[in-house]
Order: sequence, then structure tokens, then C-alpha cells
Amino acid sequence: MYGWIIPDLIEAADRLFNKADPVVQGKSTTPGDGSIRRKVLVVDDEHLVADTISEILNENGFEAAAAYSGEAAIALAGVLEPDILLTDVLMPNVNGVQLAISLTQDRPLLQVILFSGQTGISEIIQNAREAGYMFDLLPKPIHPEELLRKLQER
Amino acid sequence: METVDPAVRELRRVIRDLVALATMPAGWVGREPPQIAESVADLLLHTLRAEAVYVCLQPDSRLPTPIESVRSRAYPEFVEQIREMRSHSAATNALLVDSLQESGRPAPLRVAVYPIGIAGEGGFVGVGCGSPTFPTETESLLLSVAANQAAVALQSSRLLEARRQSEQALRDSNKKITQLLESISDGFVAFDHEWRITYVNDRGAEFLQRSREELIGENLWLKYPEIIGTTFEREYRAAVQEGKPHHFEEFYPPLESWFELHLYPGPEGLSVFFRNINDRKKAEAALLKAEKLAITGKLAATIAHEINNPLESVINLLYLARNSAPEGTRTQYYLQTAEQEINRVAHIARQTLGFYRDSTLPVPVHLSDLLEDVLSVYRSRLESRSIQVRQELVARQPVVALKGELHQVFSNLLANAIDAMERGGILRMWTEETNGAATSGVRIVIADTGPGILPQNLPKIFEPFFTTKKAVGTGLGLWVVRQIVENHGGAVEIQSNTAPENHGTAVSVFLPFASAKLPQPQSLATTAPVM
Repeated sequence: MYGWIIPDLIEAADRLFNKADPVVQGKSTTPGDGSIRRKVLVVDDEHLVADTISEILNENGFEAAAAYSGEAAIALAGVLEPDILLTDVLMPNVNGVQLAISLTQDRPLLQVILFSGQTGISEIIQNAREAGYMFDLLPKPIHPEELLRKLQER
Repeated sequence: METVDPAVRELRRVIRDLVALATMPAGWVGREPPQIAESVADLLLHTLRAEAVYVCLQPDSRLPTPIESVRSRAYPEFVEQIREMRSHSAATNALLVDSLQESGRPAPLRVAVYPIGIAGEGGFVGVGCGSPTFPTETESLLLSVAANQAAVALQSSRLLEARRQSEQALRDSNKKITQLLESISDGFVAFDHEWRITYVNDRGAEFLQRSREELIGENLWLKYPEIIGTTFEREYRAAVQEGKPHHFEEFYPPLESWFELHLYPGPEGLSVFFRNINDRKKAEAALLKAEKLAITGKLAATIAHEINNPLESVINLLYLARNSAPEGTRTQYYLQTAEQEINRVAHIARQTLGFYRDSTLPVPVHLSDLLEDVLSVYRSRLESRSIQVRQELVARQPVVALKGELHQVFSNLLANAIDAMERGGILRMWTEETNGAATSGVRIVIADTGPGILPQNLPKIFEPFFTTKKAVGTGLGLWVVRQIVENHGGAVEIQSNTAPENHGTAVSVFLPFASAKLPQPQSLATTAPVM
């Protein structure tokens, strides 16, 4: 689908496979309480944001992986098969809305949460709405507890 | 019966006539030449017992027609005769006597002509008398006195007329100047050297919101003491001292108006042309405001980008650090405090950098729940300032609205209320449903017991960048509130009281249950959500 070289992909894959066991070992790892850990793909071109959110989610009953670009996220999604996509909106090349549309083509059950701290995104969101795509939007910065609450509601 | 010598009787009569002649001109003062002519004719007819009198006055040598007055019963030749004699009389500047033999008359009519004024330039008088001795010496004397008095009367009437004409000319010229001053669209005020107002045109009085009667004769500094020490005084005095025209623009607070003034010093004092330039200033200010807004918008977008990402990272890192710190340690306490502080920064960033403006679609919003949510965010600040909260959130029916934007509205209002109560107080919040024909919706009131808003600030509080909170205010809070509420088809009102016994501010927000200004959620339901 995307013919170009994805510089972040290798790095993202490395992180994914070298780090948290649950992600590598299985897609249905169960936490202590017996419920299924839902998988979240966290995408942000700010590495630190993507990393810290992933870590917080991993510590709180989710199975999360971080990608630093839309292209990397598309590649990673094929491996991870996430339940939830949490993505920044404004990113170079493939923005969050394009990413969400692309991923939901093949995954009608994928839940999408857009995540942005910028005011300049209303046009992108509006265009998506007009095309029939309604995505939830969370403000950045958001407190981790509030984020967890939003995700747990789903 | 006393017998009187005829000579004495005659003398008495002459004296009486002379007195009559001498006093008559007093009655002619201010009279017009035709009246003088009539009066002279009557006088001569009476005093000289004349049969015919012809008075001709030439009030103005430039006028071709003289003024004539004739007292003659049946002597058509009399007038002809006198006109003929006139040229001789004028040439000699003396009495000319002749006889006129008329048909059917036993004796000829004695005719005497006397010029009025030097060389008869004022006309002449002619008298016809049946007495063969006419004119006697006395009668000549009386005639010359009458002619001279007529000349004097004519002269004074001429002077009067000349004065009247010059006065009229002056009036005409004044009228022209006045018309000119009144027709201009500028205000005009003239001051004398003692700074008294000597003239003000209608427009000027209108600008100053006073009547002319209130202004003319008043001393500028006594009537308008508030301008002492201002640019107005400095410019006025400088113009007079330098003797050079000055031009400036200045705001005049008592009339809340901007004026543009041109000052022209002159020998009589100072002339001031001025005009109200509020409209121009407003347009300039609006432009400036728009530019300011555009810059701020760009700035906000830039700052949002640069701040929100690192802020998110720091919040997350602090959260992770706190959770990994051993329970009950100082480290955990420090991290917890740091987290609270960074949350404040995050809140300010969210409020001012306008994320909520990009909010999602309109949904039914339960305002009572929303207010509880907003209140929970501020709980710690309310407690730290020992502000009591009294709430009565009874509205149950939801309004269709952009939830994020309403969150922003009540966040801003609550933050203002808290800022107003630095040393504690009572925060009251209530909601009520109103069900009028055009006003079905929810009214939300947030009231504080702070010091209140000064009356002079009330009209400005919804303006962007207006703030009384110098250190922390952005001046955008209430402006954003009004924008959002009006976008929802609602209205926001503020009442405030600064009286010591009953101070505080109440903000009332009305939101309709559904607004035509917003896209309706029903229509959006047809577009299938992807999630």
C-alpha cells in the first residue's frame, strides 16, 4: 500500500520485539484478573509522548506499542492487530486522520482516538467528518488518569 | 382789556414763530425725508400765512427724483414759476422774489424761493403769498430759518441713513461669516485673550453637548477645568505663545470622544476648529484589534504546538515516576506536587490555546453533570481559598451543544469567580429550565462574593484582551465565553455590585435546548461513525 521506505519501521519493530514480552508472545495475554488485555497502537511523531503513553498503558492493563510516524504505524498494525488506535493528528507525510482511515478500511472494529494539542486541525477533522468518518478527539495535554478512564470506557 | 401796541404784537408773533421753527427740527430727528418735506410745508403755510407752498427735498444728489410737497389750492402756474426761479436762487444761494400774475386775481401772487443747503444741493422751498409786501424782512428771516432747519434735518437724516447702511453692510458681512461658520461640519470656537468663549457654532455646541448660551462668555479653564494639565491645555497655550497654528488629536474622557483639533491664533485670540473622530478611531482600533487577534491566533497555534507535546511528555513522566516511587516517601510527595502544578499549566494551556474550539459534534449535554465535572476540576483551588460552594443544579433536560466548548465556558467563568475571591467567599451555582415560546432552554448562574466589577469596566469586559488581572489574565476568558455562548444561540449577561455591604458578580448564561446555529445531531446520525 505504501511503497516508500519507512525509516521508523525498523526502530519501531525493534522496540516492539525486544521490549515487552506480552506484545511479542501473544495477542491475547490475560492480566491477573482474567480479562483480555486490549491492544493499543500509540502513534506520535514526538517520541517521548508515544513512549510514555505506551508505558503508562502497559502498566495499566493494556498492551501498547508505540510508533513514531503514520508509515511505521501502518506496518506495525499488521503485526500487532490493535483494538484501539491512539494517534496524534499532525504528523509529517501520513497524518493521524489518514492513518485512521487507512487502518479502518481492513479493520471495521478498530476504535480510533485522535489526540492533538493543536488548534490547526479543525479542517482535517472537518474533512474527515464530511467524508463520513467520525473519530473521537482528545485534547493534548491530557492527564494519564483521564486517558485511562476514556480507554477503559470502551 | 389791555391795549397792545401792534408792533409789540407783531414782535411777539415773530418770536413765537421763530421758536416754533427752532424747535420743530427736534421732531424731525430720525424722520424720513418725505415726512420732513410735509412738515416744513405745513409749518411755512401756517407761520407765513402763505397761499401756496412748494417744498422740494433732494436727500441724495444721486437720486434723480426729488421729494416734493406742495400746498397750493388753485395755482397751477405756481409750481412752474418756482421751478424756474429755483435755478437762479441756487446760483445766488439767496432769497429770490418774484410776482406771479394769475388770471382771475386782483393782485399778483408774490413768490419767494429759498435754497436748502449750500447752492441748493438739498433742494429748495418756495412760498406764494397774496400780501403785496411779501416777503417782509421778518418773513424772509422766517423763510431762511425754515430752509436752514430743513437742511439740518436732511443732513441728519442722511447721516442716519449712512449709518444704517454701514450697519446693514456690517450685519450682512457678519451674517455671511456666521453662515460660513455654521455651514461647516466642524465645530468652531473662538476665544479672546482672556480665554473667554466669544463664539461657538451650532456644531461646536453639539460636539460639546452644551447650548451656546451655556458656553458664550464662559472662561475656558473655569468651564472645563478637567482639561487643565492635559494635551488640550498644552496645545492651546503653545499655539497662542508661538503664534503658530497647531494640530492634534486627543481623547476627551468626559464625553468619551476622540477629537481632532486645528488651532489658529490671531489678533482677537484663538480660533479652534474641531471634529469628533470617534468613528475613525473605532475603525482604526478595530483594525488594530483584528491584527492583534490574527497575530495572537498564529501565536496560539505556534505555542500550542511547541508547548502541548512537551507538556504531555512531562505529565506522563511525572505520572510514571510517582507510580514507581515507594509509597509514602518524600519523593512520591514531591512528584505528586509537581504533577499538580503541571496540571495547572496544562489547564491554562488548554484554556488559552483554544483546543476546545476544535471540539467534536453537538451532543445532548446535561448541564448539571457538566457543571459538576467542571467544579471537580477546581475543587482543590476552591478548598485552598476556603470558598464555600452552594449549588442547586436542578435542570434535567439536556441542551444540544458542543460539549468541549461548554466545558470551556464554565471553566472560564468558574476560574474568574475563584480569582475574584482571593480571601474566600461563597460561590453559588444554579441552573433552571425556562420554557418560554422563544426562550426554551437552561439558565445557568454562577455568582461570587468578590469585590465586584467597577461600573466603568463593565462595558469592556467582553472585549478581547481586556483584563483587570494584570499578572495572570489573558483578557480572553469572557470574550471566548461570549463567542461560544452566542454560537450556541444563547446569551450571556453580567451583573455586578461593588457596594461594600453587597458586593459580588453574577454571570448568567442562557442556552437554548436546541439551536439552529449548530448542526443537529439527528442529521449527523445518517453518517455512519467508523468507530
